[in-house]
Order: sequence, then structure tokens, then C-alpha cells
Amino acid sequence: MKLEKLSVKEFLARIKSGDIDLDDFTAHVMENSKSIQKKYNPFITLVDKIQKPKKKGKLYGLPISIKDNICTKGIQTTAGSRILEGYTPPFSASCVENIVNEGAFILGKTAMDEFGFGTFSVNCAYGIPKNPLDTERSCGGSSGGASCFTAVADFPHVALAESTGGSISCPAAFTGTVGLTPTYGLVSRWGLIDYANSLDKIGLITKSVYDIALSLSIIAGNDSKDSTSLNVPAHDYTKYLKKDIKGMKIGVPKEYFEGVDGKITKVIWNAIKKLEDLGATYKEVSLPHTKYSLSAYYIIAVSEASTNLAKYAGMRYGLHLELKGNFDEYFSAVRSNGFGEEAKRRIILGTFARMAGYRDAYYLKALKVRTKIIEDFKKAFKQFDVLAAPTMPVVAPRFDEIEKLSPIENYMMDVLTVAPNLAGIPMISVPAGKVNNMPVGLHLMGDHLQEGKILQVANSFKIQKY
Amino acid sequence: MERVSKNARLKLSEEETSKFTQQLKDVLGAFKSLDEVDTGNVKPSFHPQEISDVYREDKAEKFDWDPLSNTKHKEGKYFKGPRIV
Repeated sequence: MKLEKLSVKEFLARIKSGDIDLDDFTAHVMENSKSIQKKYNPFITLVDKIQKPKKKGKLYGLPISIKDNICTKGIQTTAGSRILEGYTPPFSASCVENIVNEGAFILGKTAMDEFGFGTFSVNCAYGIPKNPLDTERSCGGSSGGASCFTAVADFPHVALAESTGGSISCPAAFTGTVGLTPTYGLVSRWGLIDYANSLDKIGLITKSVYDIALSLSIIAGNDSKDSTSLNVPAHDYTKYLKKDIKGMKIGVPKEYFEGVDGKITKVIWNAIKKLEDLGATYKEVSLPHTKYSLSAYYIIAVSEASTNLAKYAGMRYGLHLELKGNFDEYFSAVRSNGFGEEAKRRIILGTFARMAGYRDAYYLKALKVRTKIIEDFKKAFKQFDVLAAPTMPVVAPRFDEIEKLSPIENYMMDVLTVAPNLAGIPMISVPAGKVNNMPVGLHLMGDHLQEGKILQVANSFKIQKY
Repeated sequence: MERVSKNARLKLSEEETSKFTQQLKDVLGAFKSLDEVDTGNVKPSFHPQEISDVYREDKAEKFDWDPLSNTKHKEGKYFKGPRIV
């Protein structure tokens, strides 16, 4: 049985027909995953024993990895933080239920920056995932484990990931994988450990656009357990992949090329020209509030994070200490012990931005600027079907380069991904070429609920060669 | 910083306090660029899209999991916490 270079589509057909034996396949997957873990560290928890699928659904026999901030019944879920060490959810997130009900099986929980606080998956309490293309470099963050494993696994697999400000697009770009962040509210957040409620979106990292379209069809749709879940009926996203892109209008936002590595700019323009060759037309467009998106994003994200993280107090789950002192002393001791440095920094920033006397100047101001950023996008989508830009301003940096960055320099790396995340529009990063042997991502953004259009354009690159 | 960390229930070391104070100043300084944007008549966007309230019937439902399954601090059917005063 040859599993290497087998696409998800081909695999699902062959396992359904009985051509591939599920026991042989799971044994192969477990053995390979263990050796990948030793070499690249993509997992926080790799399951000891695979729970075999009970149902022969649309994903029968497919291994799934799940970012560690998505709850999985009976499997430790830490969101990459010491403060949740040992937490074993008594329930699974809705998206996990949907996937498992279609016959997929859970392989493990992937590494991430603590609570999603990072761009490089280096703020990890349980080890840093290494980029399979160059182990001295980052996999991107915060869904670094998901992108690492997707890039290196030689068998069919899909990763459930999550983005708040770019945590799917960035790691996909840095590892040469495909990453989709859906419209805010399209996929239920029930069972997701919140970072920032108005920004968090569960999405996917895979090897091909088809795998994204297939899996999205299963996890998208209304969920009564999530009050922000959109009332849209689930549908089959693979149907968009059959369409060509003739007549599609592509907007190229000029602000998204400022400060970008010149070699990356060249790769992106080549990709846009390729889309033109396939029948699309393109034109430059201006999104004038782009330069304010980073500040608006960080103020909103840390403000929401600081309230979300208030629940970690060592009482109901996660890290416990001996019950000593009054509640203030006990909670402060647990939190000071359990949170990592970046979590503490963001809690401090967010608490400050929401404090009486500063709330209007920072938090409310940022929410109003967010409105202007959304209006920029809405205006552009009256003219264009899809916007195309580089996903990241650099290729995956080396760990020794990351160490030298100050917090503000670190945050600035998100400059191209935060605006679409603030607007809650769907985006997909697809590999568009290489610079210095490292992959470059092309970022395709669409209007709210226009996942079909960005998948259609992304698919024209025919990324997975096998 | 003392007031902020107290509000956030974080006990910072001296080293953390001085490091975070400087970093907070740098980050907030950079964020002040937002003042350049005229937001006079602009409404704040608490969500990316308009979200309407969703109601459900007010009726009790049973759930099949034990809320005490992840705590070490419990007594009978209750969570046990630190003293209040």
C-alpha cells in the first residue's frame, strides 16, 4: 500500500472501496507521526491510541490534527498554556463533533503560541515546532503545529486551526501549505478556548484547496450553541472548484506592498499575472486605513483577551495550587505562576486599555477605526471579486532573528493579516513561489461569505501536484 | 503598572515590572497613531458584522458531563475556593 503523495480525495475513495485497509493505514499514520514528533515537535499531545471511526461518513478514515485551543473530549487541551496543563474537556467543540461524525479520527493536538499570542509559535509552553523546510526557522504562528504537521506528513491529513489576527494565514505562508480563515461566524466557535471573541475564527490548514473546500463543507453552518454563529445553511464548497476564473476581477491593494521584501513582491506579481493569463483582470486599489489596522487590532485583541483570561483562577480547571490566603492572593499566585511572559504582557496591555479614563482613548477609538477599515473593504468589494496581496512581508524567519525582536517589532509582522481579520472577511493563503528556498504565500481575500470565490481563484494554482 | 497588575490579578517581579513598564510605553506610543483618524460620527464595530440577539426557550436541559471533573478543589457537589475575606 503506497500512501505517500496520495491526495485526500483519492484516499477517501480508496478507503471507501476497501482498497486501503483502515488498520494498516492507522498503524502507518501512528508510526510516522511519532517520528515526525521527535524531529519537528508539531504536537502538544499525540494520542496513544486512535479511536477508530464508528461511522462511514464523508471523511471516513481520515486523520485530523486539532489546534490545542479547540476542545476535544477526553484529550488534554491546554491552548498552549501551563495554566491549562492537565485540562481534559468533558465535551468536544462543535467543529470536532462534525468532523468525527463524518468518520475522521483525531491524531492529536497541535502546538501553538500560548492562547494564540504570537506570530512565530515561539511563545509555547510545551516546546516549539520547527519548520520542516529548515529547522532553524519558525513554522509561523500561532497555528504553527498545524502547519508544521501538514507540511511534513506524507499521508493524507487535514488540520483544524484557528485565527484571531493571522494565525492561519501566517503559518500556511511560512510552510508552503494552504490555510483558510472563514468569514467570522461561519464556523461555530463553541468549544474554542477564546482569545478575542469578536475576532476568533476556526479554519483549516491543508495540502490542497480541495481538502479545504471538502472540510469546510462539514464544519460550516449555524450552531445554536454559539450565539455569534451566522444563520447560513451549510453547503458543498467543492462545487466552486469546478469553475474557471475567466472574467473575475482582482483588486491589488497598493498599501499591502509597503515594507514588503522586494523578492516577495516579485513572486506575488508573477502570481497575479498568472491569474491574468487564466482570464482574470486586475487593477490596483487603495485601502486607505490599512496603516491603522495594526494598532486597532492589538488594542481590541488584548482588551478582549484580558477579560477572557480572567477566568483562569485555579479553581475549576487547569493549574491548581494549595488553597492558601484570601481569594486575591490565591488567584494572583495561580495566574502569575501559570501564564507565560507574552500572556502577562497582553493581559497588562488589555487591562490598561479598558481602564476608566483610558477606555475611550484606546478601546473605543480602536473599535471606531475598525469600522473605517471594514468600510474600506466593503467599498473595494463593490468593484472586485477578490483582493490579492502577499500574506506576510517576509519569509519564515530564523529563531535567532526572532529572539532579537522587541514586542512592537514582533507585532508589526502581522501588518498584512490583521485588517482582513478585523473585518471578519474570508481569506486563504496559497503557496505562490519561493524566496531563498523558503515558501511565499499569496493572500486572497473575499467579501463576507464569499468563500466560494477565493477558493475558486486559489484552486487555479493547482497547488498539490499529486 | 502597580494599579494595572493589581486589577489584572498578576503579581509581577521587579524585573517584569520594569520591563513591562517600558514596553507598555513603547506599544501605547505606537498605538497613538489612531488619533490621526477622524472618527467623529463613526459608530464602533464590536463585531465585524451586525449580530442580532438569538433567543432560545427558557427551559432547563440536562447535560451529560460532570463540571467537577477537572478540579482538585471540591467538596461534595461544590467547588471549593479560597476564603473571601
